[in-house]
Amino acid sequence: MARFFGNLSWFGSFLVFILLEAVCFFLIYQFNQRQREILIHSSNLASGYMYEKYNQGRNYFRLEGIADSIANENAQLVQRLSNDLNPPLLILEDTLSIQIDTSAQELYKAISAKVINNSVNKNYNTLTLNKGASDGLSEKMGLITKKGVIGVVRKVSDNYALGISLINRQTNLSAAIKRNNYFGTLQWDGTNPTIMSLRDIPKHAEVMEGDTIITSGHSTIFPKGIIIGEVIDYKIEPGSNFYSIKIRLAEDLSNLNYVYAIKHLGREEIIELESSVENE
Amino acid sequence: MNSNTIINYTFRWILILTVQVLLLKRIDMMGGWFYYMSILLYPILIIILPLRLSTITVMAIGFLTGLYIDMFYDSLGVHASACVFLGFTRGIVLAIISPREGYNVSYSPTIHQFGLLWFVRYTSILMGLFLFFYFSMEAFTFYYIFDIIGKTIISFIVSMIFIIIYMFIFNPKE
Repeated sequence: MARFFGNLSWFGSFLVFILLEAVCFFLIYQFNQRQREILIHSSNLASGYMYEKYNQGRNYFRLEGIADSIANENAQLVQRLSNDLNPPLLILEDTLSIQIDTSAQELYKAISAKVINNSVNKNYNTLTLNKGASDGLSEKMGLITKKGVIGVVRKVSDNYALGISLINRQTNLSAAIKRNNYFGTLQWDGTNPTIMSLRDIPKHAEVMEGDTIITSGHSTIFPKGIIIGEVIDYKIEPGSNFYSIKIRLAEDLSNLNYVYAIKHLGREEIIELESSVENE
Repeated sequence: MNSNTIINYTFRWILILTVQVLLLKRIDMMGGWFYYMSILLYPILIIILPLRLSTITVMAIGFLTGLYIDMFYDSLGVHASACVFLGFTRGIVLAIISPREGYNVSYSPTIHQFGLLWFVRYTSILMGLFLFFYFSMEAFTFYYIFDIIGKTIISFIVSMIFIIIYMFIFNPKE
C-alpha cells in the first residue's frame, strides 16, 4: 500500500486529502448559491429539530398537569349532564318531576379524582383517591368512571379519600335490570374480580343473558341509570323464590386511573327526612 | 516518457475534457428522465493515470481537473472535491485489489495491461464511489438520499458504458 502513497505516510496523504477537500468545501460554499442555502437551511433544520425535541420533552413533564385539568373539565361536563333533562350518561328518568320543581337547582355534583392505591385481590378491596374533604368529597359518594360504577367513598381525610371497591364483601348495592326495572342487591362472593352476583330478583321477572344492569336510584348514593355490567349467567336455586344472577362488570376494576365522585346534593335533607319518620 | 507518450496524453486529455464539457454536459441540461442521468466520462483520465504517481500527485491532478470541469458546469468546487476523493480512493482501491505479485509500476491500470475483467472491477468500484460522492456534494445534504442513490445508479451504468467504449476505441497503453 505504501507505494501508492509515495514517500509520505498514509496519514500524510490523508491530511492532504482533508486539506484539498476543505478548499473544495470553501469554494462550494463561496461560489454556489444553492449549496450555501442548503447549508444555512440545514442548520435551521437542525436547530428546529432541537427545539421541537425540547418542547416535546417539556410537554411530557407537563402531561400530569394537562391530564388533571382535562379530568376537571370532564367532571364539570359530567355534572352538567347529570343535571340535564335528558342526559346521555346519567339517565334520570324518574327525577323529571324533581327537575321541574327545582328547575335551576343542581341535583348532582361530580368531582374528578385520581386513584392512587387500589386492590383487587383481597376480600375487602379498597381504593384510595388523591382528593379529600378539602376538595369537596364526603362519605357515601358514588364513584364512577366513564364505563360504569366502581365503588363508594367510605371515609375521607382532608386531602385523601378511601373508597370501598365494588368487589368488596361489604358491598350491598341496589341494582336494577335496565329492561324491566326489577331491582335486587348487588354483592360479591370474593373470588373473581370481574364477576358479581345480583340477588333478590323475584322469580317472575324475565331475565336474559346480556341484560344491562344499572343502578336503581333507590339510594342517595348513585343516580339512576349508571351502568354496572351485564348478565352472563342466571339460575334459580331449587326451593328459592329469587334468581341468582352472575354479572360481568363494565369497568375493569384492576385498571383504574381517573374516576368521578358523584354527590347527591339533596342527600342530607333526604336522610334527615327519613330518620325523622323512623324516630317517631 | 518519450515524446510519443506526451502527445498521447495531451491528445487524450484535450479530447475527453472537450467531449465532457461540450457534449456530455448537454445531457445534464435535459429534463424528464435525464434528471437522474449524468454522463461523466472524464474521471477515466484520473483512473488510468500511471501507477508510479503517488496518491498526493493524483489528488493534485484531480483537484485541477475538477476545477476545470467546474468552470464549465458552473459548480465551482463540486467536481473538484469529487476528483480529490477519487484520487484518494484510487490509492486505497489499488492496494486492496493488487495482484499477489504486486504491480509493475511502469504500467498504467488499463485494459491493455491488466485485462478487461480486472479493469471493469477496478473502474466500477472507483466510479461508484466517485459518483456517490459527486451527487452527495451536488445535493449537499443527505435529505435527498434517495435522489442521490438513484442518480448514482443510473449515471453509473451510463458512464461505465461510455468509459468501456472509450477504452475499446482508443485502447490506451499508458
